[in-house]
Amino acid sequence: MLELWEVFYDHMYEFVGAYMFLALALTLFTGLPVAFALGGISVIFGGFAIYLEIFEFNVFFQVIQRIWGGDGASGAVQNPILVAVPCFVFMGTMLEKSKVAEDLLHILQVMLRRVPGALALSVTVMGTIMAATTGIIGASVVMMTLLALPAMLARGYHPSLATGTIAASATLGILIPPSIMLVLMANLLAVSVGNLFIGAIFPGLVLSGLYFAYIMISCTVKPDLAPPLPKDAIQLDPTKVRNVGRFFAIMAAIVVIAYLGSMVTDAVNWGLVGFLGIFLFSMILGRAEGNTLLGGILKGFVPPIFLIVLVLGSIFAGWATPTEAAGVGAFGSLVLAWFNRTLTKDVLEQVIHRTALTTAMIFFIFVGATAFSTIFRNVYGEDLIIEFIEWLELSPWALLFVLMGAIFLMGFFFDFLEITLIILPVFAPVIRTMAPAFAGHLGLEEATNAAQVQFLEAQVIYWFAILVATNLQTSFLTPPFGFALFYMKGVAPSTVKMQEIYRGIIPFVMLQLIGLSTVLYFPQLALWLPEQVFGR
Amino acid sequence: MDFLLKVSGGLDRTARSVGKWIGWIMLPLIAVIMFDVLTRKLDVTRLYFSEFTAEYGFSVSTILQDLEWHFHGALLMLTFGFGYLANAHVRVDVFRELFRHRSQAKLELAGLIICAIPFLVIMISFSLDMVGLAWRQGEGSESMTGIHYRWFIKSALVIGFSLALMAVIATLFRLIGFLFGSEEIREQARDALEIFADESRELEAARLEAERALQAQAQEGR
Repeated sequence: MLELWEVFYDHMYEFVGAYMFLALALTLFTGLPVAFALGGISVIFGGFAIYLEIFEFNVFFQVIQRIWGGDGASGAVQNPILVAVPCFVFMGTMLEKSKVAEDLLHILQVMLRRVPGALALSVTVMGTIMAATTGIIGASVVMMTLLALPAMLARGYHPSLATGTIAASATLGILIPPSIMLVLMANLLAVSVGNLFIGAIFPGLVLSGLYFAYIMISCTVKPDLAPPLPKDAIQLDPTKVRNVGRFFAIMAAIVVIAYLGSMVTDAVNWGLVGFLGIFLFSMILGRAEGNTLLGGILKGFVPPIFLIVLVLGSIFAGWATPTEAAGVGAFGSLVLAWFNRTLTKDVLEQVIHRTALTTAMIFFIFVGATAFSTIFRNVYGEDLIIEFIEWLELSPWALLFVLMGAIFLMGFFFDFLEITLIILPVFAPVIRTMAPAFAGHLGLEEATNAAQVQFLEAQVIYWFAILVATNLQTSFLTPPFGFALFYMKGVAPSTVKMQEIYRGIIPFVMLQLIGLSTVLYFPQLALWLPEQVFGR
Repeated sequence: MDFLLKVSGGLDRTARSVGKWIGWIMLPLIAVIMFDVLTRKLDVTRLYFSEFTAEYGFSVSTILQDLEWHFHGALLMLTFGFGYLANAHVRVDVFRELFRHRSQAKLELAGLIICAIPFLVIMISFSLDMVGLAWRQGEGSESMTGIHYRWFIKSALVIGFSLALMAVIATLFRLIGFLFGSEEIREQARDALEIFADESRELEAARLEAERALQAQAQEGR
């Protein structure tokens, strides 16, 4: 009997981490809130490990300290980087509820009305611009479908093309900065947010460019997919072009103040001057043009773009940290809504509540995942995984594909939050150990000293993070489980069949795979721009 | 039973109103970031504020930057309970959706007792320890020129987890009412619970809206 107990004890001592993972998977599928599942499993297995005398009860103090953060640790509370998350959520919700997004789509439709597949193209462009702002897959698919699908179906667009375009464009949000997922990833992998944002720009643009080209070509070849619009089909709706001239005035005033302030010591900052010039120019022109198309563009199209450029540009130029840029973006969205005459108390309250709920959602998982990963590390779970991978004896490339495959499969069931917060901390040490093997592929020399090793690891992690983001996007779109498709089906009018949605998404999944393999084979796509901006 | 529902009503109102109220902290957060960014770019204000550091030993910018994450921390911790009550927390609904409401309620009840309550209780007790430690050591900002009184913001952890526990207990009582109560109690509890996988119902409402928009556009087209 005693022997049996010893065997059991030894087995448990070694493999408690593995059982922990298994139990988590089972608990998650009961549909309990993910955060409670994570926390509960870590308490239960923490208790079990205390019983096995792997550690003491005060291990939970370590949990609470890691939830708190501080001292450069990636905690939830004392962490200046993560302040960007509620700000970006606020900005996105504000742009949606204040109808800035809706007006932008309208202007895009007017601008592109002569091009084949105009309505689909405008959705792609809007996805690229607004990508920025939503970030949570379910929410952005629902928003884009409600805004764009009825108009496309009414104009006789093929349901497959319409739904495929919308689902694919709405998921661009997790890759194209400023994306909440990239903020969380950078925080967990201990790399710079700004660098990751800039690295994601080219891959994101490549993808939206591929979508754009595909839609244009297929609509030219097969005009019945998207019947060309009659000449006067889409008129500029003057009620949708609200007077935002004063928005420019306020933002210009801010830039002027900041510029004058920096002039006292700094050399003349030509970037700011140019920015300001464009700004004043469009402001004056927008006033003069009134309800013409140009006026519409200047009022409905330029301001949201300006806001995104302001946010990304200030990170780019080293003018602000990502957190500060997010705060400025949130402020900009408030001002934009104000001058759009849609900033009522009601809208503000809705935005505030939505922001509070989304922040709670993101960070409660963060807290649960921190508890889980702390206990997991303390029962030597990470060592178990590294041992397992060594036992597999895979080459680094094969291992990369295995990790990618696993993340792709998980994308069928989980949103990016769970994947980023639970799986990445587990995979991160594996990726770090793989770093030297990819030096050649990334065009870097073998690392010899500590600084070079650190640089190499960071480069590999930027590349990996972008790969994961693209991979997840593909996963969310792939039938039959694709996350985005599920939401799409929920809000699409009942005349649209599931088969049509599936058929519509296939070309986009193909384009995604092309994009993914491009980033895989040409890592410079993700690494070149940050290098130019930040230097080595 | 009636008593349980009344208690859960009170707990619900507390957690919900704190969550809704703390959301407004977004506005001061944005204001603080804007102010900090602008005053640091302006030489006049930067030099003016740096005199404070020399004279009084605190730095305006450091305080503002500390304030940013203080606001952020309060926002995220104090909304957990509200988030649970409004069913905003992420769930993996693939299989849950297939179950009847009664089975969903049983699963939730078991999950709350086995997972949520032990987790929250342990988190509350250890965050109390952390607040106590910060209080006794007089822990302040790492940078010496920032905000002192670290125990104050650390107590947001205790309050936040307690609010989440209140939300959990409110839901627990309602689930008990829903599963084991009389007909009347059951109805009441059912109406107060928001945990069921009704995603399809919400999406349905949105879908109907889309169809209405479609019809309106079709008429316009004609």
